[in-house]
Amino acid sequence: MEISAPLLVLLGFCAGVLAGFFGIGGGFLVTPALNILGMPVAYAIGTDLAHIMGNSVVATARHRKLGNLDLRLGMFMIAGTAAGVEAGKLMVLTLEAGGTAGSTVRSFYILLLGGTSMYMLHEYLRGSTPGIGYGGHLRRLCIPPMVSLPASGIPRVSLWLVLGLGFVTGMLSGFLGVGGGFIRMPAMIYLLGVPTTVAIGTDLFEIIFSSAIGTVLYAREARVELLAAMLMLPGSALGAHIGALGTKHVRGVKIRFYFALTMLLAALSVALKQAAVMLGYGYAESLALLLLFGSAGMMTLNIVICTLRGVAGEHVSTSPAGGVLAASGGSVHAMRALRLAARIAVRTGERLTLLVVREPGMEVEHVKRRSLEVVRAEGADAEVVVREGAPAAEILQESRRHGLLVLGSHGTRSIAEHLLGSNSEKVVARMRTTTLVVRDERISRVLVCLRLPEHRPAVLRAGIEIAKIFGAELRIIHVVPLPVLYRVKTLPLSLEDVLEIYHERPSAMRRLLSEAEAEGVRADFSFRQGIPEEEILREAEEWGAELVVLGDSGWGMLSELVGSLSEHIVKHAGINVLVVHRRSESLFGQPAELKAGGAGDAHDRHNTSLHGVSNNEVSHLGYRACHVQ
Amino acid sequence: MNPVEGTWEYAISVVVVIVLEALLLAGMLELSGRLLAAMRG
Repeated sequence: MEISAPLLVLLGFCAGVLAGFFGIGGGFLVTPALNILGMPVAYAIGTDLAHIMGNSVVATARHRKLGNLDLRLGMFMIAGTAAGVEAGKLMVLTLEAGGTAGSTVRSFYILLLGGTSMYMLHEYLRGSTPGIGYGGHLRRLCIPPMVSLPASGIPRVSLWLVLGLGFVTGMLSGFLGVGGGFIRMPAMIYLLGVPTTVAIGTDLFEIIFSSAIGTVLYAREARVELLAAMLMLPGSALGAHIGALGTKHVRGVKIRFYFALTMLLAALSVALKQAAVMLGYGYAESLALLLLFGSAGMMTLNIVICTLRGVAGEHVSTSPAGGVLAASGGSVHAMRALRLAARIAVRTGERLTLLVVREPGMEVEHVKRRSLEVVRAEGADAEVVVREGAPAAEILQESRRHGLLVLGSHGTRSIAEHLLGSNSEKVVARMRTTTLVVRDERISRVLVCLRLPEHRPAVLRAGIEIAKIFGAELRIIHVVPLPVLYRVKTLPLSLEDVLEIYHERPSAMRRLLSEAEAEGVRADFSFRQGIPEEEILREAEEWGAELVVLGDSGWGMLSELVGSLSEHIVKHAGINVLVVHRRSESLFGQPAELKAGGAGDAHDRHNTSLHGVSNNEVSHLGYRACHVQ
Repeated sequence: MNPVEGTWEYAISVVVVIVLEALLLAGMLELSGRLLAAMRG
């Protein structure tokens, strides 16, 4: 059996990127891929287990997440896991002796990948993310012996439940060559009631041990291709790092859809391989290989490009532009935007420019006159620029020379706008400067969305400036972006969990609030956990925010397809949205004269690192912790 | 099949080799991360 070494490195890289990005082990891809590449299924499972073990060691060494381990729970579960892995391996070897291992394991993969992807697609189309609420019943099972798990805060739980959980995930691991974390982690949280941070640490501990046990058991049967596992490991370790970084730069509620699609295509590839083996169609095997590597490769390429562009976008220099540009088409919502732009210009002393894009049937002189009347009624004056062409393109072109673009947007949308996007959405998608999309003239509550711990200080500064201009209250929100697979079911997280997972330092967060308070803006903090798009909109609605401030992020090939976070918020918020351009350092593109430190310490604030959490500090903060459930 | 393959010694060696490679990779990733951070200033 010969497999191309570069193909193995590439496979490891693809699996690593997807695993890091989606927050899963990546085993679901490697075992079928090795099998499709020509490795017998028992070898594919053994080799993948060795590869998973290596990957989990890299993850543990780099993140040192085992600090939140419940060793007692881990040890009990390992007993079940070891038995489960052995049972899984025996099943594979028995099937292999009967000559049916390949087809049975492939059938399970088709069912598992196909079923999960169909369920996720159904959930995506239904547009909901329901939580799991049946954990309590199993926890009350009183089959002796009962054990206590003090590190997880569980006074009494049946040992059989813990062993059973270990056995099921172990068997899955031994039979399919997967880590099993996608079942173990939610099961620990919902069935046993283990806190999320402890579940993450214990899950990693279990993956290391179950894959190590699996590797030993399969190697004992000479079913591990050591060289193949060693070749895949560097690619997957680097890929997992890039994938995890990608979650910071690529957002979009449709990511779940793409995850489901990747799994569905993987299921289809396995089905093609099955057809090739059963019916002897040689071309089906080539098609399976093409489909698996094509879909995984395309998704990987998208994530890598988005990540690289996102990282590059974070380090570009400051835009020197200044002044307010207001786009006017003469409509009611455009006039509303003009009034707001004029107020901003008057209160900040910035110059105001009106842009009128000539459209068929438009009386330009009338629009100019009416626009100037509106601006002057607010006590401002403006220079008028008239252009001809497609409105979105002209607005984008002109906005390059200004620090802030203000444009109106209406609530009701035509079918064409639904399909192609409104002008405001098109502008935000390709924005050249900080953009305020206006739907309402009132701004008394400003919701600033920050991405901790490496938040962009410009977003907070722009939020503070706009709150100061309108005398508004400020709320800073951080949505904990859990890996996508764990987003499928909402996990319960407390503020302490958030701080532990992200190693955030409360004093750094207090400094964010003090920045606002130093400017005379009343501010508080809110944490949510789940899908950022959904949680930001929910918080805005519940708090009654009239303006959402967020950074321009998530652009690249994948965002072109699924839309960025800012586009999603602009499309669905129904309230004013301020999107701060990635090159801006404040509301008008240049460092603001903040009393709390001024432009001089902008660099320091940019490098605000929130490491080294001290739990006793947390209790003194009094932040609001918002839970989704 | 190599006569060494399939023995307990071989099985343990596989685990040791993979763990050592993983630790080496983790160290290299850590180092390259620090190097990049230092270069960025």
